[in-house]
Amino acid sequence: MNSRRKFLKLAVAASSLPITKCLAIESCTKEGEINMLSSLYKRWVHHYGQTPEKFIASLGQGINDPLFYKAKIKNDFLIGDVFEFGGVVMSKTEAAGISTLITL
Amino acid sequence: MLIDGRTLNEGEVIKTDICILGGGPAGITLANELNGSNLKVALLDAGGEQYEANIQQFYEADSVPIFYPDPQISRLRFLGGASNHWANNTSPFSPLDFEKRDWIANSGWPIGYDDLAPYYMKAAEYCQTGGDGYSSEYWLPLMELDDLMQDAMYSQLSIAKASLPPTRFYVSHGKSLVESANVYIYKYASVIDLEFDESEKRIVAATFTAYNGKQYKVLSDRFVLSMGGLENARMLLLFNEKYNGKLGNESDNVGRYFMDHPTMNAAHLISEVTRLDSMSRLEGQRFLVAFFELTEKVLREEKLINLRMPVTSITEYGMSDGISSFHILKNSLIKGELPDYFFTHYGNLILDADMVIEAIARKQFDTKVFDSAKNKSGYQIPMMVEQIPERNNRIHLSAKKDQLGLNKLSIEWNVSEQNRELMWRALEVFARDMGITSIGRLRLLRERASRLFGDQMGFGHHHMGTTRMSDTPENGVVDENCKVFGVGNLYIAGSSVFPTGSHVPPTLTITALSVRLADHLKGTREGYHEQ
Repeated sequence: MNSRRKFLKLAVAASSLPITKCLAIESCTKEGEINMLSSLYKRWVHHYGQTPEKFIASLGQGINDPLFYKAKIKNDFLIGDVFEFGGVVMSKTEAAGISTLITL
Repeated sequence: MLIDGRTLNEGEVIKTDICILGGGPAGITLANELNGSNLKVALLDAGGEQYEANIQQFYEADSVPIFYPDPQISRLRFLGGASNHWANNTSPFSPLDFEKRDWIANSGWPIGYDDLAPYYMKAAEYCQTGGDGYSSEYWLPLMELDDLMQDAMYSQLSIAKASLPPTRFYVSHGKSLVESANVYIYKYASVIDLEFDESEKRIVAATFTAYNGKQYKVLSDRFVLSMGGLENARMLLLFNEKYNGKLGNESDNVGRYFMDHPTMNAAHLISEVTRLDSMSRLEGQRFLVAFFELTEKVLREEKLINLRMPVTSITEYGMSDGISSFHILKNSLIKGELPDYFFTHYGNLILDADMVIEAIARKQFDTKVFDSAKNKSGYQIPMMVEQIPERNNRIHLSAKKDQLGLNKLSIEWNVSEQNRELMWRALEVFARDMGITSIGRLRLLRERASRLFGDQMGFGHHHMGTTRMSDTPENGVVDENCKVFGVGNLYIAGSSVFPTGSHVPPTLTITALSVRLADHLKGTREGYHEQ
């Protein structure tokens, strides 16, 4: 009984966190992902001093070819052109590609 | 022959050619190598043939740094020593481990890989990991992993082996000694003093007790300290008190440069490559593990330390950022502090609330709530970190004494900022290779650093470096033959002689060095001439 009371207390405490309630709502999770993409986009721009779209455009039409895209990513890793976001070490090109999802 | 020290008559004097002080892996290997020779050998061990709490208590330390494991638990004071609870995880050091690396202060052995290589095969026999070596070229195709890293630029797969069940050195190699005609094992023989002839610069006698108030002496031509990485230094410091550091400590090196292998999950590997699940497997009576490490080339070019990086799959629960952040926030807030990465942790707590609730439910109510907690989510890397030898990491003597009247052990140890920085840089390089090979993406858990180097830090329990090998007495305690500087007939066996500890467990190298020392003591090693 005591344990149940303890659990209820914890549940109440958790639900008092302003955003925690929203977690139960699927749309809120999507919002979290959008926030993350937005943050990635801003940090990419801050780091490289241009927009990801402009960078991707500078790669030419080849970027639409999956093999070219993969080779470019591999080359980024080879030359050390990597971008760390949330601890994940990504290539510059793939980080740019992912961040532009927010504009779709 | 096996003799119980407690049955000896008070004042009894044992005369022998070689006296080995300590019956762990180093001492037992050495005794086996001397078995059948024309040398009379006495091996003294402080314990019996089984664990006994009243004997083990003599391993109690006076002071140990927070988070560092209690040496009373990480060691075992009976025949076989720490091999009675080790995991038998073995692989050899690499050639670079022996070299002087200008980016790592105090690195460099006075011997090279080639000096030790001939002994690794024999060492593997003692560790019972098989005579088929550790070559990646041989093992990776058998494990169907040979093409996994074919595009890699900076890292490679290497092999570790363990025998199953783990080899208990006394159980596996003690019988031949008990039946030996020239080796005498004395159990319950705890060494309390060494007698040094300052004019001859030789150890004349070792005094031991059998915990019964009586003392006995061993007179020997040569003595070998093989009590383990902590105890070798503690006893040498004790013996030196009477002789003003003349037993290898005139430059105050005994006990210093103490190293261990910190272990931690500092990165997650996000990957869909299912072959990563077969990085370890059973092979008869052995367990094979393929692990990632950086190549010698990149270590040199980028001036890094190496990491031993096996991978194991992990669930959403195991990978949870929320649970980790919950602990970091809790630990900091209890102390009235805000942690680094506060907002990251707060966000993790919110976004990963289901796993936090799962953790609370498991801990508080012993129940599971979310099925998703069991979902495979990637790989963790329980890596072993090479530690830089640093002079201020040390063991020394406490003012407090044990029941034998000997000063207890005190330990000062941490992982320096340089060491941490080199670890993160090594992971960054490895992360690039995960991208190049298309194995996946590495996620560095920098925000967890306070716990990784705190309450979540694990240890190899590998005590190394406290009586380091060197070219000169100014920089070490023993020479290239493991002979203590300034003493003509005192040697040290074990990981305390390692100047650097690599990123691999030490026992195979300890054993190889013991086989090499045995050749030296027998005078059979090529190019060896006793001075």
